[in-house]
Amino acid sequence: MNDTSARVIDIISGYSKMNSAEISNETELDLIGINSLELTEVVMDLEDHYGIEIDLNAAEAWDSLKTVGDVVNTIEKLINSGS
Amino acid sequence: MSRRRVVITGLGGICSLGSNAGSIWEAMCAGRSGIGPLSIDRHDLKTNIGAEIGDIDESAIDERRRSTMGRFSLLAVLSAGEALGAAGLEPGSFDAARIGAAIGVAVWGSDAVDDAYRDVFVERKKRAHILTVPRAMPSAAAGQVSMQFGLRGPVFGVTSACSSANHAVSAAVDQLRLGRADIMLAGGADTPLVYGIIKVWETLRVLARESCRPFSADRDGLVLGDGAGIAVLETLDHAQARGAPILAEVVGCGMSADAADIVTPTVEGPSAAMRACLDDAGLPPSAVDYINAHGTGTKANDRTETQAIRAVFGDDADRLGLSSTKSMHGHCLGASGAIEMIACVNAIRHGIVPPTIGYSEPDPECDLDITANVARERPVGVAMSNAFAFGGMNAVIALSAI
Repeated sequence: MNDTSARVIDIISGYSKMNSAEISNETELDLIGINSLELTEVVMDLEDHYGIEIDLNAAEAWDSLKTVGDVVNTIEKLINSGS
Repeated sequence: MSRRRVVITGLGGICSLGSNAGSIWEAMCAGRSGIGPLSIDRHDLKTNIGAEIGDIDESAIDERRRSTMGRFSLLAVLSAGEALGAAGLEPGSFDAARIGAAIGVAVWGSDAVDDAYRDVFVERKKRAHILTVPRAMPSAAAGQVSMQFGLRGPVFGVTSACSSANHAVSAAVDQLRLGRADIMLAGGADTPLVYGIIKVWETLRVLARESCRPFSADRDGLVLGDGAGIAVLETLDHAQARGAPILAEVVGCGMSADAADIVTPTVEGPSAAMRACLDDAGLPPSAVDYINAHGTGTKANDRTETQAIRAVFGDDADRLGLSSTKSMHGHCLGASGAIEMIACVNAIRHGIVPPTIGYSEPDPECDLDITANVARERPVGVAMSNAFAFGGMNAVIALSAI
């Protein structure tokens, strides 16, 4: 697990009843109580933390980000693109 | 005892499409969009589209009374004046104790609240404007209408987010059916296009980037709009006795709650409201010719609304005409159902289904006949208007030719 993954899991666990140790990249967001509203909050926290802009509305985020790994991949792409 | 029948005898409205019900309907038939760049001071807003109202003629309202109003109350009073005039109800020509008002508001006097925060936090003034409370309170629209026109019957505000106007109409219909009044002004008013309200809607990430494209596969959200709409509702007996113009009958109201999620809609809740409306009207699904959809243009609403309509109407779902006029006047929140009532009444009267504009790409999950981009002539005997709100509060009304 890399730093981004650990940070994403830490933020996600703040909106879930699961603690960080119970969450991995393979974890499906829906199964740990992250619905579209919580996911939007997660996305905003990640924007603030990394100083990036994730241009997804709530439904687009929900349709494209199904697992923790999907979120991690999106963040890493944006960081690497210098966004 | 047979139920008192309720009819519409006058309409008034103001929104980005026009400053009266007639011009709003003309714009709908022409498929004209009222959505454009925002003219307000946007500060740090990313959003730069909305359905704004242009210049307003306020001359009918006394300056001292105007100073006590938030902008949503102003819109409500102007629309109520138009509706009363169209219904042939001049001040003094009606029994004041037998006429009331129920007006839906989702937000509040947003301009008054924005001004108050700016005065206190930015301008560092010691106090907000003395009239901030009366300008802001959501019930003020109904109160101001009652004062402007001397209505002394049941007068109250109704709030259920985006369903507010349809709940207000339903509540007004109940007053008439129960014999508590002979005439009720009913509808909604809202002015979300101020910095503070747009800023918090941005945070929800459901606002469209460029335009409102309900049911289109490339839709990406809703567009906020300012507006008001008011109908004069009246018992059929009362309307006939005074020789009033009868535009349509309100044949059914149906309400339900999802009791599920504060923002994500269900299929079951909206289905239950549409079924309750048909039951109240005593009509089979096959009687409905046109549905003015809630059709916000968000992924979630349009998909679940399609499923709900299919669940209620079965094979008839493919026969009826559907459209979302929000593609033109935006989402006026508490006023939406009222502006859409103008669409439904005129669809019945003129046999024209207004279009869903901005439609560019079919979505297999929204596969109803959504009257894409161009209005269509078709006989409309019964029209249904859907409103489904955050909080899972659903209100559906059915109107019929008479």
